[in-house]
Amino acid sequence: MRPSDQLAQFVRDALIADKSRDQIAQALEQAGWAQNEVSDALATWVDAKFQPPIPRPRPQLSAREAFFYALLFGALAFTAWHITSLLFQAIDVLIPKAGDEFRNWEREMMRFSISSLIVSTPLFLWLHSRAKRAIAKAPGKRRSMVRKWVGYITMFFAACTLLGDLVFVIFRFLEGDLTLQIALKSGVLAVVAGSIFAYFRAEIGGDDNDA
Amino acid sequence: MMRDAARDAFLPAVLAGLAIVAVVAGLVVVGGPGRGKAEQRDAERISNLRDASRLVVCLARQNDMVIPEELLAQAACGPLDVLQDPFSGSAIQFEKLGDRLYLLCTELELASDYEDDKTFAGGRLRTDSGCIRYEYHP
Repeated sequence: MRPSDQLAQFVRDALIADKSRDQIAQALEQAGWAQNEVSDALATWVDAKFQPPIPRPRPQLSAREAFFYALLFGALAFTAWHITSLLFQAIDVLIPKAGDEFRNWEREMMRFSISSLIVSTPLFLWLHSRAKRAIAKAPGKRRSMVRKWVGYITMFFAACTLLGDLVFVIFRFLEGDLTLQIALKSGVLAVVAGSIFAYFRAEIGGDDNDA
Repeated sequence: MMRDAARDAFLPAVLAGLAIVAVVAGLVVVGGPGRGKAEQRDAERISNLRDASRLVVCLARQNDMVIPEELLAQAACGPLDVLQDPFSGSAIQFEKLGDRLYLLCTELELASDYEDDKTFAGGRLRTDSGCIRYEYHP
């Protein structure tokens, strides 16, 4: 039996033996369990007088959810990537650097990004509204492990992008090479990565705070 | 409740707005399907110039390794069809500049897309005239 299972089993037995939650917490802390481990173990069981103790619903992993959220976040990543790529190239053309030429392969890349956005943006918006409707109908879906993991991974990449962007701007500034082109590109990257980060922070972080 | 609704709509609204701006900016920069078709036609014309250049080399080999003054059909080199613009049907201009130099000229719709005086289709393109200058190395 894993330590977390032992702990959950102990809490259950203690609740059946009519010990109060404070008594259980005190006993566990004296035994060396960390405060968060104790509160997590107590939170496993509903705080009610009913016997035997009622377990709280636990996050579950379903293949259907994994497919849905992988598609949702894939569409988001694809959309964010192509928005950034397209706007970068548009900036290069509208504010060219001396000696820069617009080549045919760049034109082809832009056409590919336009095509990708025409598909991935509506797909993301549709999946997003579907996810929202599903959560509104069954709030328990907020506990989806896949949703949390993919959300945190997305936040990690968004945070890395924001930090990298900031480092790059400071570096170019110190090099004396912070041109309008670079400033605009950094701005685009900051808006895309920043809005994704802010959204998931409110969305997933809010769930964790609620728990 | 209102705050939640605003939060839920925030990312989709930002992404949809940026995607629309990016697509419009992209279309302004690269042009629509009409321009794409013109690019395809120019690519075909350039490919045709390569074939025309091969024909000139073949005819030169049949002419004691000297570029001929005029391009006349030879059985060993195939028909002269390649000396025609595949779309307008107008003739590709040939001009002998010397024993080892010749010009092939065609009309590119988007000549400004190409770099001037750079190696191109096996020769050097002059975007002002649409001519490619070839060197013949027997």
